[in-house]
Amino acid sequence: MKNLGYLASAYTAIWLVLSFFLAKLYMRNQKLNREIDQLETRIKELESKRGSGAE
Amino acid sequence: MTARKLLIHAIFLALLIAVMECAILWALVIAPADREQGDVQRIFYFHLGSIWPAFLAFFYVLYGSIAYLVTRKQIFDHRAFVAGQVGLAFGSLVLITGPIWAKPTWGIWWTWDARLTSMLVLWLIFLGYVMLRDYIDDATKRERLSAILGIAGGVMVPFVYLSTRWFETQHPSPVIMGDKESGIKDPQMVNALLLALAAFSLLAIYFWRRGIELVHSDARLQALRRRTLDLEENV
Repeated sequence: MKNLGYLASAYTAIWLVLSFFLAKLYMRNQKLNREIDQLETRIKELESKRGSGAE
Repeated sequence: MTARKLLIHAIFLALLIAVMECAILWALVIAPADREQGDVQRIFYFHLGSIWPAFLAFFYVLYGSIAYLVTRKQIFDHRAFVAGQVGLAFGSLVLITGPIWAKPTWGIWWTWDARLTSMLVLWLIFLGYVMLRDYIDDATKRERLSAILGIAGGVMVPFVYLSTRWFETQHPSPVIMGDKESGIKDPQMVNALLLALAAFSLLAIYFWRRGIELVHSDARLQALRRRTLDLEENV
């Protein structure tokens, strides 16, 4: 088996790039969901404040 | 996510994993080693498997960019942008695995022939396409410029594909839709290639779908921000 190092390098590079891309998507998704949750909580607070103010 | 969507997602993911495992098995174990190049030729399956989804994604950018310029609907711009990112990821794989394969077979990492150079230029165009988003604040201007750059990149894809026919290159002729002399003859090698193409195409679709979900989440976030500001002003 000659040049096995090149074969291993190529396949390692492939999975590193794909893992990086997937991790980037996952982290961005987590960040967006966290921000959405925070804003939804804030909106609920503001709406309840507005509701109690109107009473 | 509804139960139906979750089920489709799970089935798609299971299919992707199964095809990917088969592709790796065929590429590394079942397909025979090349008589001249030996085992290093096995890089070919995923090298070519990467260019296919990259080209498809770049063509989608072309379609989405034209559709955006004609209709001015943001959804086309968003879809094209996500396709551009996916194409860039797979294009990066082509440019990384190519030189790693070239060194033991050609004796050099890189040569400035028409195929390699045009692929690098294509990759740079889409790198610019993706990065452009961060540098222009005006949304309309950004989308219009992105669309123009996306069309320029998409139009270049056939040139990259045909460059080995139009010019004398170090790079071999196309295997898919190539000349009679080009291509692979061993049936297990053909299976390995087809599986790699299928696996990476499914993976590209998976990435694209996740990217579109991010775009939707981002749009929802913007709407929530506006709603929060509105409430804060009125409370």
